[in-house]
Amino acid sequence: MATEPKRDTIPDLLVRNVPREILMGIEEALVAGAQRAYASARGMAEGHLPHVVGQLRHFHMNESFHRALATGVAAPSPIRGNGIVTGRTGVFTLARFNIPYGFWINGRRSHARRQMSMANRAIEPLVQPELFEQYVPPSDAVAFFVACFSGSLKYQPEAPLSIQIAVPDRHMRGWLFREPLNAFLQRYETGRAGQDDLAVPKLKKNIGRQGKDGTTQ
Amino acid sequence: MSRGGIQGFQKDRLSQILAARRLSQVQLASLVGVSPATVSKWRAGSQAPERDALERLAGVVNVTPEWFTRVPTPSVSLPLFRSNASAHVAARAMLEARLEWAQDIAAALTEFVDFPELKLPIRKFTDPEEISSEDIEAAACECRDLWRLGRGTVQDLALAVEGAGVILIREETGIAQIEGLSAWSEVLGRPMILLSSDKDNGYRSRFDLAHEIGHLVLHRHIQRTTDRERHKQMELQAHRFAGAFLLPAETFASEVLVPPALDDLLLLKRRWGVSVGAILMRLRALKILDDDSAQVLFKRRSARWGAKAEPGDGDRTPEKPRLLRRTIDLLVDENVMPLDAIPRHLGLAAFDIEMLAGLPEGYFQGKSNVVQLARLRAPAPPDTEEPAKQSNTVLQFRSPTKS
Repeated sequence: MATEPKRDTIPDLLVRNVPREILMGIEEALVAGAQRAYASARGMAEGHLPHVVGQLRHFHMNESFHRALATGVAAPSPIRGNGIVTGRTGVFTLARFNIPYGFWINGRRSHARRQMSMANRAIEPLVQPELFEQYVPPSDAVAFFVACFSGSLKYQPEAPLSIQIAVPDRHMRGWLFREPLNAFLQRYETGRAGQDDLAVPKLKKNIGRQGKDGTTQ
Repeated sequence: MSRGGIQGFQKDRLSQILAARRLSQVQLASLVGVSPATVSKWRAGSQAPERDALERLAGVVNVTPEWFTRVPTPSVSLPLFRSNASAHVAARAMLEARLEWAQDIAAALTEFVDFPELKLPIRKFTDPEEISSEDIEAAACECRDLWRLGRGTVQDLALAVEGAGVILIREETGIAQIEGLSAWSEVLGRPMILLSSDKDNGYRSRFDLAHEIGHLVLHRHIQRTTDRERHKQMELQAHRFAGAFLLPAETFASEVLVPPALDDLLLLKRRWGVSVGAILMRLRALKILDDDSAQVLFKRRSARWGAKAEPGDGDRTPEKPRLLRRTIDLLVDENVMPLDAIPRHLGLAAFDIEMLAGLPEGYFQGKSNVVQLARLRAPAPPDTEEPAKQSNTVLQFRSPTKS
């Protein structure tokens, strides 16, 4: 038991706890939400268009995220006010946010997200082993789906440039794990590294070995 | 039986060897030094060869004389061939005879060993019309689940197939047009697949193997037919199965960039072990490509690489069967049977057994070499512990001499 969890990694933990189906649903939902947001902002005044699109993205993507979690039976929290939607599968609480592509600056702005990230203290030893505490398999952890937009309405305003799955440290100042979602999805199959060799004949029980003189030993 | 003829001569064995060696009765007669009419009588069973004629006959076709007196095992089910062209009648008969020999070898080996348990999805279709594309996809998925392959790339299909209890033979047949055949053997209670290694293309060979599995699963209870349309339909179904098995929709589709460029597909080819041509067919089957864009890609493929070869065809060494080889190795290693007794026990020429069982050429002659290699490899795994032990003994050894 003591050696087993040490070999664990955060992506393995995610793969075990979050079904592939939910991730594929979320990937689609975030793209669809972003498209709806951009479409419904059409015709607004240029002066505040980026803000409108940004806000509408939050609401539309919250909605589609909620639906993806609900179809994936991931117990989404209700849609209420400005708040973010969270869901849960296995030990992971799932949430989302949007940021401009490049330097990740906006993640810590939400109090709720910072609060949630505290849970990841339990999985920090997977990346940075603690001196005094032993890693125990966590009962609670947080992963975010981060949609990175170009930051300009001139360049691909209707869809995120990339969607990443990101696991923050407890203060949300660094990332324990971060990977584009489409790359992460491939982990579900590469998990099985080797192929079993079952093409092995078995000697029948009543077949005796023969000595050099041909007699059965 | 007439005067002097040896007892228990099996006429069917004669027909089998004529097919296997691709000889006509006239050719055989001149080789043995008898009249064609005599061979014809032997074959019809109205006369059996005398002792010296039998020995000459056996020498000419390279089997033991005693082999002609062995009662033939019941034939395998009628195999399905890729090509039904009448030009290949003799070739098909040859391959069938080879498959029956492989069956004889496998049956003789089952006296001593158990092969892996047979694991294939069971389907009871009696008419190819009954089989829908969904049925094929489901069968391919079930097959993967039974073989515990997940939905990722298949590393070694031949290994998986043999691990599922199918007898696999891969040999040079001299008939490149017929890539493979498969049949169910009642004697063994399991199916057999014979692949032609003539094209020496690892990608092709994998797809051919998956294609034959498709036939074995989907068409086991379907009557063989000469109807062209029906035959074509079954071929398409086996192709669809091969695509679905090697490139499962759930995982493969998510890796394809649309619209694809040929170079993207080359990367996928390397990763999944399936040729670009077969990938294109699969994309069309999954409706990821429509007919027009598939045609454009096929056209570009021909224009860039020609119709026969693709870049990187030589990247993957063809997968080799190992079950029969391992069985023979096992019998020798466990001293169940000495190496040189195996060809005698099977009655076939050492060369034929080497071909059918995938053994290296000269295996039955160069006994000492092969066995020594196997012995040298065996102690490799505990090697890591050896040095520690050795250093211990050195220390212990020194201390008594000092004192």
